[in-house]
Formats: sequence, C-alpha cells, structure tokens
Amino acid sequence: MAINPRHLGAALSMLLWQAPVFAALGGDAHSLDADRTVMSGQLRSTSMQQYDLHEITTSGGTVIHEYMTRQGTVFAVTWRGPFAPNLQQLFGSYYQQFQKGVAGSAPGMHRVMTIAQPDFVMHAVGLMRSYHGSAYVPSLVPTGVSVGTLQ
Amino acid sequence: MRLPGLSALLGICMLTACGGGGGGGGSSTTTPNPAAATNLTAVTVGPGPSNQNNINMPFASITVCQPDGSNCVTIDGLIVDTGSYGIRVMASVLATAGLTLQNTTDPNNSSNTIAECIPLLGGYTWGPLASATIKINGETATNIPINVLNDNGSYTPPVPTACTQATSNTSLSSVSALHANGLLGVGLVPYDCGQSCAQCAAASGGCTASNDIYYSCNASSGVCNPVEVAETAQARNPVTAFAVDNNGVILELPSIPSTGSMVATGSLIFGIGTQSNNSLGSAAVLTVNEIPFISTTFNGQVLNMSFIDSGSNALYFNDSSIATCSQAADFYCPASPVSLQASNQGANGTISAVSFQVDSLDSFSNKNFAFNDLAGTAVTSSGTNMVNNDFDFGLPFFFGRNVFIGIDGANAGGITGPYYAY
Repeated sequence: MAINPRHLGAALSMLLWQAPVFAALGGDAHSLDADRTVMSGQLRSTSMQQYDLHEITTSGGTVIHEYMTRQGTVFAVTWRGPFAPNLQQLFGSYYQQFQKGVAGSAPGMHRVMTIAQPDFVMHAVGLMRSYHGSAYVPSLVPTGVSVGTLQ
Repeated sequence: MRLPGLSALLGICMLTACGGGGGGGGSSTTTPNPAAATNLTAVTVGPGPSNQNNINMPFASITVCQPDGSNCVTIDGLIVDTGSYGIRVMASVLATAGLTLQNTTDPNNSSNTIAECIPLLGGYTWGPLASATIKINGETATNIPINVLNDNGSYTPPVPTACTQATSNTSLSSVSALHANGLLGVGLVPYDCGQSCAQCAAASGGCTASNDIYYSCNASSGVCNPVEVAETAQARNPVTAFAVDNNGVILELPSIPSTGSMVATGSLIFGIGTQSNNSLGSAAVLTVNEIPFISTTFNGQVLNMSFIDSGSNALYFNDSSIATCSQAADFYCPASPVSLQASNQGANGTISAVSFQVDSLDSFSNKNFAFNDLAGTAVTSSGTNMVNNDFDFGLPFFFGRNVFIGIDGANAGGITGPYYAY
C-alpha cells in the first residue's frame, strides 16, 4: 500500500497540465486529469502489486477510484459519496453501453441498477445525497486481478 | 408477464382468500386507524396515475396551495418515498389542477430563478423550486420549498449538461418516464441536499455539479450556473415543517398473499410517539450510521450499505444461486419460491432478523400490482462479481410491517434519528 513517489510526481505534474479530454474507463493517464478537472477533484495515486490506483476526491466529497493496468489503461472505476460523479466522463467510450443498459432495464426510478453489457459491467446505488457504484471492462482486467476486491 | 398459468393462479388465490375486494388478486387493507386521527393519509399500492401499470409503488395524494394557503388543489399519484426528501410534482399536473406557483427567485440575482437537477440511476429530474403550502389531512407545512418538475416546457432554461452527464442523459421529468405525478419524499433527512449545497461557493472550484444540485437560471439567456442554496431554502421533507408530528413517519402496509394482491391499501402516519396511533411500541430500532445505511448480513456476507426504501419496487440483493429472469434480467425467476433470511444491524447495535420469500416474476398474475416476494439482482451473476455492499429492502419488505422512519436530529419516540424501526 506504499505510495510510490514516482506516481506522486506524475500526479503532481498532471495537476498543472490541462490535458485534452480523453475517456476514463478504457482511457489512459490523460483521462485521469480530465476526470480530475471535470469533477473538481484532488488526485492521489498509489502503486499496487498488479495495478495503479488513482483516487480522485471531488470538492463535494465523493471519492472516485480508477484502477489502471501496468500498461496504463483504466480497467475499473468505483465511486462513493454524497454527489453523483460525472458518469459520461468516468465511463468514457463505455458511456453508450451504460446508456444501453439503462434503456434496457425496467422503466422509471431506480435505486439500484445492475448492467451487464458484453464489455461493460456496472453495479450502482443512487439515492439522494448518497451514491456508490463500480464498473469495469471485463476484457481489460489484468490476469489475476479479482474485480471483487476493488473497493 | 402474462402466463398460461394465470387462471390457475387466480383459482388458487380465490381458494385461499386473498383478502377483500373483487377480481384479480383481491385487495388488502390495514386495520383502520381511530376515526378521529388526522395525522395520516391513505397509501395505495396500485397501478398509479394514468394507468402506468406500476408494480409495488405506493401512492398518496396531497393538497398543494399557494404559500399563503389559498387556491388549494389536490394532487394525487405521488410516490410515497422513504428514499428521498422533499416534494416533487410535474408542472403539467399542477397546471391541469389549476394551480400556478411562482418560481423561486435567486435571492442574489432577482432576474434569475432557482432550479434543481437530481441525478438518479434511471435518469435525472429537472425543474424550478417554488414555494407552496402543503396540507396532508390534518397536517400543514406552511410555505415550504418544493420542486416543480419541468415536463411541459413551462420552465425555459434547459437542464445543465453537468447534471445530465451524471446520469444516462434520460429525463425522468414526465409522468410517463417517472410513472408517477411526482414524489412525496419523507425519508431520513429534512433537506434534499444539505450543507454542501449551502456552502459550495467556498469550496475549491466553487459550486459545481460535484458539490451542488442547485442552479441559478436566467430565462432570457437560458444559462444556468451552480449556486449556493441555504438548507432551509432547499426542497423540504414536508414532515419536518409540520407544526406537530414532525419527527418521523410510519408507513403501514397490510400483509398480502404470496401470489400478490390487485391493490394494497395502508397508511402513512405522521409523527412517532406523538399520538395514540404512532408509538414505537416493541419495534426494533436500528439507528443509521452513515445516512441512509444499516448493515445487513446475508448469505454470510456483511453488506454495510444496506437500506430500507419504499421507492424501490423490489428487494434488491445479490444471490447468484437464484436464477434471473430470461426476459427481465433485473429480476429473479426461481423455479419455485425460495425462502431466505437476512439479519439487519443498526449503528446502535440492535440486531433484527428478516425472513422473506422470492418468487418468480414469471409466475405473477398481471392483474396484480402488489407483491411481497418480488426481488431483483444487485450484482450480475455472469463473470466476475464486483464488490457488493448493499441490500435494498424495497416495498416487499413493507407489506405486513409498520416501518418507522425517524428523522435526522429529531427525538422520535425517545430515540434520536436518523433511524429505521419495524
């Protein structure tokens, strides 16, 4: 769980760099900065054994985790806090699969939603003042990583 | 959901007496309250307004008046929602009823009005704040902020993309999308956003969609910018604005047969421990740690983000051993009814066991609108499971129970909210 100074440095330099908007889920390091900017957040990065964990804390207190492969691709995201994150930003090119999943679920208000599209899986709870969820791209999950352990 | 077994199911239903009432699965009603009580209103689990064919949605009516109490109209078809806070009504429904409320002016910019965007999982709601006096039977909330949902174009500025992007970009601001005329949010807290929306200007980056749900909107320019709104100016849980009986609610729904009921009629009772009809009695009180969550142990797993919510139409939880429906993968379709047990624990240490049954959506009669054994999936059972921390005790949980909602900070029957009790 030790913080890798190399990644901290990268994170700090990214704070000063206005990157073009890239996708987050399925995207690369540039997308992290786009996410941080769009969601008015603070970024903290940690190197884990099989992936890098990038944590964005938004100004409203919602904590977003982006899990990035060693090759630099975000394969999973999670969020938790009092405000819904910008899912279009967070899901990136997988946002349309999210929309498809919503369209295919029962109509009306949902407090819990589970989506299993071919290459996009999401489980989320959305209540006023309390949102949490996780999403991942099965084909991008590194070998040996159990998605069930990603908080 | 129409099945060959429909007539057989109805036959069984008639043999076992589904309750009073006529055709379909019959109807069920709670024991009447003392005739004199006025701290309550009727709740009907039925198809809802405009024949929306809702399953497991509880509806009630309220009276909406101008802030000074004049020009009152009755608005029906509101979802009785313990999972949200404040009143939301479609603009078209108010218009049809003949009531025009004035949009709330931005106190810091008199040419702007205040509007609100709520991100939900099925989409967002959007529309202005307005002040109104709300009457529900004998209770009155005088001059409180409510949220008018812009389903008829009566509110000019469009919804900000920063909000729609927190959702699937689908509007729930219509009767046909929400399947209701609005929401009667009587959950655990008084205000629908809280301190963050009241103090966001001082935050890093100021007020944004990341820390605010309120906007100051200009009709001429069509521009909306996030803005601070004091808690007392936010859409208000109406119960907390009643002069009395303002510390919580009880939703009482009758027991119904496992084959369902055409309709179920119960009561929303205001106040806890304030009248002869609302004492806590022997109910198990589970205080909430982080609103709105309690901890549920199910199948050996501790799910510490579980909640009780009348706005959810099913029990939602993960159990990969139960088959999901082929036509509606959101729901479970076991080959035969499954009996299960969970254990709820409050922050105060109270532990309460809950037994429930799950039956197949495919076995339900499409003449019924109330089911105590409808359940949905919380996590996909295909592929690698994700982290699952939640059990949503939706409306099926409420049948045959009196569920108390003790409001945050209030002394409700001798115990300080927020809590659930049942």
